[in-house]
Amino acid sequence: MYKDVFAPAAPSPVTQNVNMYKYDQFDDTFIKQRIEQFRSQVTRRLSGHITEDEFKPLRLQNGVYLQLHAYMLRVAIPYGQLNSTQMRTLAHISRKYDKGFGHFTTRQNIQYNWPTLSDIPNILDDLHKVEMHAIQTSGNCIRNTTSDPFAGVAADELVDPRPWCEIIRQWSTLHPEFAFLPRKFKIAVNGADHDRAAIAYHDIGIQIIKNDAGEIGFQLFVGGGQGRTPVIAKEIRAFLEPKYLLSYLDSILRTYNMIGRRDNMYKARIKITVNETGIKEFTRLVELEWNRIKDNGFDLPEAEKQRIFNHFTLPDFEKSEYDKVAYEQLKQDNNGFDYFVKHNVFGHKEDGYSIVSISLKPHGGIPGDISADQMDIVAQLSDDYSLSEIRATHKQNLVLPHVKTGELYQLWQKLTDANLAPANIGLLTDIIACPGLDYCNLANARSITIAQMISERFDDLKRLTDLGDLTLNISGCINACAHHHVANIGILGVDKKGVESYQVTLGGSSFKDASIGNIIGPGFSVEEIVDAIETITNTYIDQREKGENFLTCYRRVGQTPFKEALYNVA
Amino acid sequence: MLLNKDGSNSKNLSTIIHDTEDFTLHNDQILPLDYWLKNKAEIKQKLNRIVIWVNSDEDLDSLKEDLPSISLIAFNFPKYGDGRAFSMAHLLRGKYEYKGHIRAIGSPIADQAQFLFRCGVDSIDIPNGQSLEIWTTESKRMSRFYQRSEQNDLIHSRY
Ligand code: SF4
Repeated sequence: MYKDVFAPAAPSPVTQNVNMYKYDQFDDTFIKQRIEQFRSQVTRRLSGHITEDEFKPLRLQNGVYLQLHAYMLRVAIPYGQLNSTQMRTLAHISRKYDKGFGHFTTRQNIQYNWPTLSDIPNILDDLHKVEMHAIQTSGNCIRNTTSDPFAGVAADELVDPRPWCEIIRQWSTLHPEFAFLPRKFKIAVNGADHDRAAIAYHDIGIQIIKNDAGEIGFQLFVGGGQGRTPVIAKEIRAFLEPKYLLSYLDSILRTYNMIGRRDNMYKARIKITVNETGIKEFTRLVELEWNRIKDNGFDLPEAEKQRIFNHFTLPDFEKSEYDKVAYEQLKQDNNGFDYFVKHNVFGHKEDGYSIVSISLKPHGGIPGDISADQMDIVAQLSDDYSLSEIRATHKQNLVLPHVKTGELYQLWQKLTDANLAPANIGLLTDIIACPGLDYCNLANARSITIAQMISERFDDLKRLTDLGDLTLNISGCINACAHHHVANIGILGVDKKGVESYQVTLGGSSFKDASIGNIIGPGFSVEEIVDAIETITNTYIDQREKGENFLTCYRRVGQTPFKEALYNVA
Repeated sequence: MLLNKDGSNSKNLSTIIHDTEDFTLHNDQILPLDYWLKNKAEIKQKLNRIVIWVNSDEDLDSLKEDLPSISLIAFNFPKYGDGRAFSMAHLLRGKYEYKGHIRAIGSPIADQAQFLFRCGVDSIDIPNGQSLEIWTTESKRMSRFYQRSEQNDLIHSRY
């Protein structure tokens, strides 16, 4: 029913005044040529000139997976930043080529689950018109660089990581040497005190810091990862001068490309390379290579760096004043708004502005799913309230980064009308779930269904607020796409003699105090799992001391009280 | 058939030697690295051109001292997905400062042609049965790249 209603009314993103990277002729031609290449590959596949096996490496580098029922296309949202025109195009694509839905992922990307292969080159054309692409969203190459969804605007930020992310994006795009690595490779950059980019769980994690002399630089971590063997990244360099970023990345990638294991795909990630080689020896090899190349022209010339930085100058914010008494009154009179402000609104660098998170975790919904109509609404709301800018988060939510605090109430009402105002950011029902058995051919069990059941059981905001900060992630198999190991409560789907079973881990964290959760005991059936989660939260309430959130409490009391409650052992 | 970095084609006149059990050494053979390491003296004496191939898991260091006398080094792709040859070509040019000819052999795919040339490869031995036309098109697909590479003069790059 939506098919033909799309009319791109908004201005081109090139003219839209959002502080983000804008393509020039170079980027434009680059993407065009890449699409032509993919179109010819698809033509060869459809005419039978190449087999699915031969096609696989080609489609993978362009974000096309073969799923359980159909091809899936993953579109890159570089470090999660979007403008409203791009969001409208994402809505348009989901109407025209999919079933009217899109799915935001834990890598700040968006996936379409039902495109036909012959349509994909046309989708890429539509994306190209708004300066987007799907390059390297899959395959054993360097993937989309992720970052803090509040980058550039967070009150606690030291340095805006986005220009560095863009520099990494350009460097890694069709890098001739690193397109066929032992395994996929993910880089995250964080520029704030609070780690909202989970850098400890990336192949390379970059923390922007200030040294004792007051100079800005990078603290680099290597070998973190999720999957079968979750590992917290180790420091490879305490301080790197920014001008050497690319040569240092080249050196890490080259070392990994040469010594990473290729005999066993489960041992091929850099986390295993670093563990088997030892961080000391791995660091030595990387530094040796870096000392060879560091002044040989592989780094970005200052002028090119400046060109990229210029795109990210924050706008001159209009003065934003509001009646603080009336604002407090609105919160008092309206419970829903009060919860929304408490959980979904965050501090902005600029006085009088707020950052607003839009939760894509409604009651009984599929985490990260959004309809085409909702995408259009978000685009419109960003035009009306947030300088046309939107962010995607690795928790599968969206963000409107520049909202005048005095307009929060209006915005909240409009979000509520569109079912986009669940006030549960950071709470138990802000669940991350992988596609699981509904879409993924590797799955052992359903993830989405469990997420829906939990969000139905825990739907009282008062109760959720009382439970406080709590992360709950659900993966449908050991590959851990939903990062269950690093959630305070992790759920892993396993296959128990052909029956879905769910194993629970407790005590994981993906923030600065990163830790990996421990398995609490035998798994639970579909019928039991929600009760088990409730037993866990009840135990927390019994055990907690004043001011303790779930994680602190668990770290203090340990597994025992939870085990006793879950398995009725005294 | 060979595809050269300038886009031209030439006939491949050399035979890649895999099995050294029972063979006669003569010119126009690409010899395996371990055979070369064990028979350097004989090879140097008999052949006027030293041409060897290296597998993706072999060590470039073992070649170091003889590099000036080797006129061609071929990197083998056991599978297209084994991307070590890209780094090996880069290292051979940049770190070992090799000035001779570098070739890719084995099972690369057409979509890797431009990457290979950018990493310092001079020619690719196109696997049997693959379309020369597709290889040629793909080797010129992109007119620009973002990053610097070992062989940067072939194409427009940002810096
Ligand atoms: S965790 Fe397993 S089931 Fe879930 S998306 Fe990843 S591979 Fe598929």
